[in-house]
Amino acid sequence: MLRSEKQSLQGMEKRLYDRFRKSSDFTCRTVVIANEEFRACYLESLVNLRTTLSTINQNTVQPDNDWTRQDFHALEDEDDSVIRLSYELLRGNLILFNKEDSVTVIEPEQPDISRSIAIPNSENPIQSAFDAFTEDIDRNIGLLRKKMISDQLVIETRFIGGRSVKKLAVIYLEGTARPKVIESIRKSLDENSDKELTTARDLTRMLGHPKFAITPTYISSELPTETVQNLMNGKVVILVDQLSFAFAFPAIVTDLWTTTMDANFPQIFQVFLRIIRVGATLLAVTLPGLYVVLNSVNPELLRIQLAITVAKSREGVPYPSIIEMLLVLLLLEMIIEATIRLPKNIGPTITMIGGILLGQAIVQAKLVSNLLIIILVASAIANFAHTSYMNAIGIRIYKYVVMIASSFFGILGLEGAMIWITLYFASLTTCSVPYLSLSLKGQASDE
Amino acid sequence: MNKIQTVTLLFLLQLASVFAVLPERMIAASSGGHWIAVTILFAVELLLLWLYLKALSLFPGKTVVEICIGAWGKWGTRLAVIPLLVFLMLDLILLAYYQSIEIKTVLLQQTPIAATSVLFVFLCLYGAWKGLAVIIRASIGWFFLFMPFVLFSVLISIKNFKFHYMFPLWSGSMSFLFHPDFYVGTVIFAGFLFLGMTSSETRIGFGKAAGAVGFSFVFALFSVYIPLLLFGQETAIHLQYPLLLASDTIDMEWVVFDWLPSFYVVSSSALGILKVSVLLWMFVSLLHRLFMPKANSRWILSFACVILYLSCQLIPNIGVLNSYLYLNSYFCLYATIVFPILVFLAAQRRRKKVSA
Repeated sequence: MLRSEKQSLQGMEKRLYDRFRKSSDFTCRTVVIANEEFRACYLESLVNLRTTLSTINQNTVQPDNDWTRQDFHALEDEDDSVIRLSYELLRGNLILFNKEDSVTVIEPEQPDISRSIAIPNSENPIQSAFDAFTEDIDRNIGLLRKKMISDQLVIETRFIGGRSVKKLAVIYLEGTARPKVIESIRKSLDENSDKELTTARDLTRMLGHPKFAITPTYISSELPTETVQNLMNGKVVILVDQLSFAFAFPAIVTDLWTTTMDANFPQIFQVFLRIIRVGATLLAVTLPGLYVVLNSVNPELLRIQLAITVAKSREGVPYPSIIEMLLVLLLLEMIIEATIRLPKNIGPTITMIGGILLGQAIVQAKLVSNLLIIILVASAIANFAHTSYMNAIGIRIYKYVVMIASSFFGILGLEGAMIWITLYFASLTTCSVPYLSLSLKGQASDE
Repeated sequence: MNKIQTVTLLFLLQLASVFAVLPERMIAASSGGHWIAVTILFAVELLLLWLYLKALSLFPGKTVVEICIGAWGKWGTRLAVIPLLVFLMLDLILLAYYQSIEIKTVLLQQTPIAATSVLFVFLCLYGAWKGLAVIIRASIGWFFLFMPFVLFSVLISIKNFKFHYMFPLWSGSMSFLFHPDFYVGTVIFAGFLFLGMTSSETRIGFGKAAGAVGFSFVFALFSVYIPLLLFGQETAIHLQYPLLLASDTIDMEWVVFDWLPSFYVVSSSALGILKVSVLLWMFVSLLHRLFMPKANSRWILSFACVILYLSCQLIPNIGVLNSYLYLNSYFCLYATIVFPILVFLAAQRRRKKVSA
């Protein structure tokens, strides 16, 4: 009898050893808790054994504490219990075997390997709360709970993934978010629960969003305050473990020019800011195209004095305006990309070089016209007047379509490109919500 | 889905036809008191609209085709729809050609019409491909993008008005009723036909529809009277694009643009694309529903677009276009006057059948 018990215990330990043969941080050792011997199995990198043991020992010293008897349950020597135990190990838990062939899983003290809550790095909140999400999903949920004290805040956690398992939380405000949206998100998460989830794109693919959308179908934010506002606006927020962003679904057209931070300003300021952003959107898309139109296809649209000035500024430039525009835009895009990832102390160098290069030298060398630089700068500034970097990229891409259409068909091409984008936006539907909606609250009016 | 979108689409469709045909036809048809002709046109339209929407409201959730099939069976409906289909196809071709010509004359003199109509037909194909629901949703975007241009091009000419051209206010004779150009103007009614083919949640009541029509009536008056007040009847009657030329007479110092008619063409061609997409969608879905239920509707659509494009190339000049317009006005009268009445009668008959 005793012999077979011993066998089963060693068998389970051996099986775990086999499973983690290649992980050097897997450890099994004998520990003493309350004068009893146990075998403890854990991953060294995720468990702080010393503090865990001292905490447990402290607890057992207290009178009428019988934890060792209660929590242990019999070991079933089956395959799925090995899988279950190894999964617990991977999540950072401690497994204890006692001499009576029983096992328990303990949530231990973990070494401090997650970041503490800090100020946001990729967003600049003005007059708002300054805490930002971190990588730890429980901490993020806690941040939201703290910001929004309401029993209508629904938090559904689930685990998703095949090879690696990821925790994610679907969060919404009951009564505010549309049931249809919640249902469609739930359904597509259920259907794809075995797919890998590591990036934001995995998530959108899981939710069945179009693969080649030129506008982001979600809003990501690292600010809990903004996320709370998104929740109150009827969006469904998905938090993914180890991603320090909250994804709010679905994005609608107004997200191009609104940020929930606006609500901290007086109404009239908000209206003003939004009008500016809408104008910036239109300018960012149309300005480069308009330059091509007015320069090469329909110069007669301009007043004659202006047309002559435009033509003069291009004097000596050897190629058509569309090539000119594409060349300089390419340069600009490269500068933008270069400055994003550079360390902060090298960034200014690029800005300076780029400024000199674009602003002065290239014009003096008669490679491009003066006017082009003005247009370029205006459209670049307009481009970044958007509420988020994500939105700006879609517009950055779409302006090329506008430009090429304009170079073929002049003002008609510009118009056609705008019509096409309107139709495209109208046809875009994510999470059962048309993109051209003005609000997500209840059954409020669509645009 | 919201009803405002449908109302907007109705308004924009009305506006599209108003800009495309109304001024030259009304000026040609009547020698004085043009507002009478315009008013009669719109009054008839309101009446038809009421009949049409009344019939639809009796059977919520059903399209006109279903109502007709219920009353007369499949073959009766087919028979009733054939002239409508002819009208739609002819109107599509004429409208597409008209817009392409206008674009060519004003915006792209160098570009051959084959190239401009590629873009035009492609955009319409894309719109019709995505379906009516998408067009309805997009119409608000269209409204905000292009209405400023419409308003701008309509209003800039006010400072050159000579108001005495407005007289005689009352011509007394109703001679325009016997003028074929007046009946070409009935094309504007075609705008409301799509209302019978929307899904039930986007369906609008008569009040809202009448609002849209009434609003477009104001623009119709503008479109007729702007060239009249600028040039006078005697000159305006000879102009091919009276409204276009009207915006060319203006010189405004503060606008950086010189060639102001291009605003008018930009806005009216955008409206034209909208109208062609809607009519194309109607044409294809009628054909698919009644005559080729087995064929893939996207194939029918692509095929229709190819025909549309080729026929645009085959029309030799604007004079031929005019003769086709007269021919089309017969079908147009059927499609916009007889067809709504037929639908109304079908609805009445079907209701009697159900209640009996």
